[in-house]
Amino acid sequence: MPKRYLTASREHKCIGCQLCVLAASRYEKRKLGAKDSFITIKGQPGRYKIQIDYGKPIKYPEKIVKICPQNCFDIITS
Amino acid sequence: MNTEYKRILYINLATKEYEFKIHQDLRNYLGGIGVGYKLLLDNIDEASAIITCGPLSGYFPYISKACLLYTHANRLVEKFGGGVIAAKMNMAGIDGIVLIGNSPENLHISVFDQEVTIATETALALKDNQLDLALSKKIAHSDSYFNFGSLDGLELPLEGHVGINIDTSSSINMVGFYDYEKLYNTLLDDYKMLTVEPGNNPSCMGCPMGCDKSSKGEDDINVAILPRCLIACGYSEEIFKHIPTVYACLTSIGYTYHHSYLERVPSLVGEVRANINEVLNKYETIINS
Repeated sequence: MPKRYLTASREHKCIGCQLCVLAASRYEKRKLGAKDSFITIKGQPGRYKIQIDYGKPIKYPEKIVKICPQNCFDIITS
Repeated sequence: MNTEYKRILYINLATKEYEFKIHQDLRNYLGGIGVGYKLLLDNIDEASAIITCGPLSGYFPYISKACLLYTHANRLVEKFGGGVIAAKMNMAGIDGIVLIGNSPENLHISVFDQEVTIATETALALKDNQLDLALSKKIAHSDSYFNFGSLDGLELPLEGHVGINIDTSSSINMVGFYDYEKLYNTLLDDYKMLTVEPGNNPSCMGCPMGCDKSSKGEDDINVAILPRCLIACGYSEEIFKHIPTVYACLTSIGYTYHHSYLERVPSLVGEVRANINEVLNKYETIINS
């Protein structure tokens, strides 16, 4: 089965709402909060950076793509 | 998130000492202005400022604001602002922060779990930090962008600058994942009930709207007590003023507030507010005589 990777291709559009951060924790770890998330938002308002930790396979990347209101994410298949 | 009590961080700015206190009696006040009013009433002589979050801050869309309470010339001032501070407080298990006393120094307060570090910094160094909450006489904002409204003529009783950073050190195991998920998505789909338009501006944590109001605070709107206890965004009042919605949200993440508790909240909070006004009026009368 081809591997799927989550990428923040349109990071410049990020508004810092952190829905992706919370969703990552919720779908991958079944936990509410930002502590266990594999996504971190850094930077200042207007200049946000999206950091994705690829340490473990991401089971539901499509959920992250769907929840972002600014459509910052893509899934790459290899 | 604390289901059975409220955990309050007391910070003495003069002595740079801190203390976490558990308050079971504050549970009935739900959070936000409810807890804030009660803390202000109990600490009216010592407290410089009180910051509170709501029980759902960060866990549901549009519940993204924090409440800042203080007194100015024997008048109660309440300000609401967004950014990350409310969600981070809730996710660190802190329901309120009470700043006691005053200090001419610029203080950088970092909170990680049970540890609080209070360091003295220059104003410039403090400004360079990305602060979850920055407070000074004329400034109250989160992330250098999300303001708590205008403080013109309502200066905070602080001599120096105070910067606060909080690490989100806890997360909750989800019990009813599918119930929560259904509720969360329903609320996301209800964005048309908000009285702001979606945009591309920096957004408060947990809010997908990106509206152009997030940087300004909520000086110009009046909001019902229940949404103010959750500290939902004022523009989402239409969603969170209904007790069944609030009850469903609270229950889905493990709070055990009974429906009748929520019905009593507005009168309980109103009573405390009246008591605060009474005390402040007494002080005013003493000064004038």
